[in-house]
Amino acid sequence: MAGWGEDMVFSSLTFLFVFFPVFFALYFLVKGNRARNIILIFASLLFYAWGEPVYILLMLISSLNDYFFSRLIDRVRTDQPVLAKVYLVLSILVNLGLLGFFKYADFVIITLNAVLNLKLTLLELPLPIGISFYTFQTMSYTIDVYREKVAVQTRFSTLLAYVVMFPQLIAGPIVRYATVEHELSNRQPTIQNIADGLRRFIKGLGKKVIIANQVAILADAIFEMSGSQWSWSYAFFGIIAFLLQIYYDFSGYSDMAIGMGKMMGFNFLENFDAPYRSQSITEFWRRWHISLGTWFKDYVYIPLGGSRVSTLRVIFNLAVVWFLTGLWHGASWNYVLFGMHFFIVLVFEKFYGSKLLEKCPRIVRHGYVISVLIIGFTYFRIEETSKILPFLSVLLSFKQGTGTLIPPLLAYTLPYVLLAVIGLFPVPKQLKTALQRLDWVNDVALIGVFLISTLFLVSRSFNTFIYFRF
Amino acid sequence: MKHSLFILIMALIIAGMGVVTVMEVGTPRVLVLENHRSTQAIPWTWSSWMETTFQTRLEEAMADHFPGRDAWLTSFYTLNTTFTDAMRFLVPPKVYGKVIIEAYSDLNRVTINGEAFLIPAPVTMSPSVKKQIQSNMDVLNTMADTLGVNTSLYIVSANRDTSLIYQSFDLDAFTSVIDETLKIPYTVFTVDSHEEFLKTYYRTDHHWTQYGADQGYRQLVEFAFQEDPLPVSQSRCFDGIFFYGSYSRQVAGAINVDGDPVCWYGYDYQPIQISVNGNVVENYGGVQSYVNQAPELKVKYFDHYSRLYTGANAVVEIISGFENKPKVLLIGNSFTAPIRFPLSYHTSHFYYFSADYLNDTMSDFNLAQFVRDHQIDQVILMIQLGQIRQYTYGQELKRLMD
Repeated sequence: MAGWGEDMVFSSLTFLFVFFPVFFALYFLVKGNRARNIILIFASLLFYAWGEPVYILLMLISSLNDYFFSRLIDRVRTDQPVLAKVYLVLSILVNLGLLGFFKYADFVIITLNAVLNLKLTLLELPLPIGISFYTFQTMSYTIDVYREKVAVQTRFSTLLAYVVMFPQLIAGPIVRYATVEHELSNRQPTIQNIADGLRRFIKGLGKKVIIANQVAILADAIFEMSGSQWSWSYAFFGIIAFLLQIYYDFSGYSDMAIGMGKMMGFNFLENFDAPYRSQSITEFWRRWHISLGTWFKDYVYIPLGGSRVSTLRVIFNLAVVWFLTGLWHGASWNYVLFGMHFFIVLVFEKFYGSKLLEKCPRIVRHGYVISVLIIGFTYFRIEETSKILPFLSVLLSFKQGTGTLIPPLLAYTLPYVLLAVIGLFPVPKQLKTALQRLDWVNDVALIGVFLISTLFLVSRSFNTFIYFRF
Repeated sequence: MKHSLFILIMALIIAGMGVVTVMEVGTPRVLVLENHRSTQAIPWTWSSWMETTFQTRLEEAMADHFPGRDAWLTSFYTLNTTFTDAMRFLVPPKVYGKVIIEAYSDLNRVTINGEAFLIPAPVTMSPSVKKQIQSNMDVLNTMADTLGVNTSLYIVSANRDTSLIYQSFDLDAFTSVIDETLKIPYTVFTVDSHEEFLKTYYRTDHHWTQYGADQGYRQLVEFAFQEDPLPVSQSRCFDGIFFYGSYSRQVAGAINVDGDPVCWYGYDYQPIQISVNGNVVENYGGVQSYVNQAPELKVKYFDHYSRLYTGANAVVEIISGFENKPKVLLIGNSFTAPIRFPLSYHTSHFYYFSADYLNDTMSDFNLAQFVRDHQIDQVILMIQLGQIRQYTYGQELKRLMD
């Protein structure tokens, strides 16, 4: 069925050895940013259409929607501010409508069926890949035009290049137009940027393919157990493995996106800043998926009044933001629980907890953060809400279960888990200084990371003819 | 390292591998390690693009043609087994008398009297397994009732299905379920000593050796025909040729286990006619066609088992010339390959096919009609113990009856 295909992802042989070199060869061969933007657009549309040949239209609709409305806003804002606002609202409604329909329609239907005892039929629409990212991007552009933070882009191709550029199209970071406004028309790839970007890309590839994918094997094996099979130790290992998996996976993708952007001459903002070193949950959310957090702060929290209102209103604003943040991650109640869990903790920290934390030793603060994350990301990981409470009760009551993990699975994934944990710690200063003097060591290591990543990617396609089942 | 040098090195690696892959992607090849042909890309059309079949096939083709694919795969599995060995304190070997079991994630390396085998983990009984076995036995009962001829079941224990290796394995747990449900006669092939085990199964493959197959043939003849089996009239082992089978391929050769010598048994009997997939053949189960495939025979991971016995998937008809013997249909799988020829001696007409092969190639086939048309007197179903718990087994048999 059209639209159900496998997306082209950065961590695939086709992308790394065909798309990536062909794109960059063409990109660097042409002269001028207009030509580069055209190459970027066509490559990005091909990248997206590889897995979503039909839903590419949605992305184009979203882009056209914001292109036209932003121009209308710019035309009327001085003389007809109310009409400008109307255009803004319409633009947002179109984007939210697309997002709401394709991502949340069945969620609403399931909830109505459960609450009101209805028997509405599910639409079962496939989720257009990246829709949560590009709708948020296009909305931010139009809002920033309305707020006069950025100049309206009159050339559709330039705006389209911003929306569809493949490095951040399907998994972020959510790039603000202001970040790349100048670079869209005025960038010049340099040897240093290309090299640094490539280094960053390889680092991200290694994080994703070597660490995240292997740690995921352990996490998945534990979370596939259920009920009586879970024991305390498995539950603890499972959620720790998942915390490592999601960090290395997501930050790895962000590194790849930022790296490719840099190669092209774009400077995307950082999306992760050593989040597991945080000493409070407030700090954690300033270091984790930064582009999403700042998006909700700038476009939801602050317009609602932010912190400059009454205590009750602040709590309400936070509740709205975290309800939406949870829901943004997925159309399912476990994600809402994820969001609301952090809402409760952040309210606690805002009004009471931060003063208490300041008095605690550092190790207690880190322990507190990890404990909160363990519970919060349990909601994230377990989509079936009926399984969440049993898992948490096992985790928090040190219960023993009947399940057994295949010991060899633990044995061969443990080195990756250890590597993942070591990677969270800062590099000691002396070692950092020594490495800076021997920069070739870093580059040789990165070449090694690339080759090992290739090893893992080739192995994913391993397919012994399983005739021996019969 | 200078930025330009780093870029150059990476560009050479990426572009070099990419160019080779793209150039090779149109060339069909046999992936010996994985025992199948490489995927071929399909032509671009609007519909193949919109359905993403073009993209999927192209990605698979590129992966299959990636330069040095086998070396990459072997390196990956070697890395995994090295990590497992390094963490052996977490997974210490289990020792049960003559048997030492070293666990890896995909397979176990089992040493018996100093000889190493690759063997998967044992199958254990559970409520869901019991339910599936009962369901499959019901399918067999229905089949027997529908066919209205003498129908029996021959179950072959594979190398994992024995308490000689896995103390936790309990054959009685399976046979008791079969006894409760199955209404047709059955028997189970097992080995009863470690010495027999060493001769019966290949070290790196799921099949039985020629010796094991001969033992199975003897037991089946006694069970199904109440006759003396044919004696082995020739025995030939091939110098310098070693069989690395399915289990070795499954781990890309990363777990160190020696290959097996390849041996063939001949049985002295000349049928009147042999047909394979409707074509009359001069030779079946004969060794010459195998030998004619040299020098491929010395290629590691060459599929000796299938090639020695003229293919696992085929519709075989053998007319023995013994008119007073029954007409027999054997429905089985690749385990039947070494014994089809000698089994035909005990029949006037011998037919063989595997259920899934027939369902895939002849969608309008009906087993009851086939039995009537060919006046079959006896149907023998032959499977491994592991298959009786598989959902697909019952489904394939049902499709044969539809």
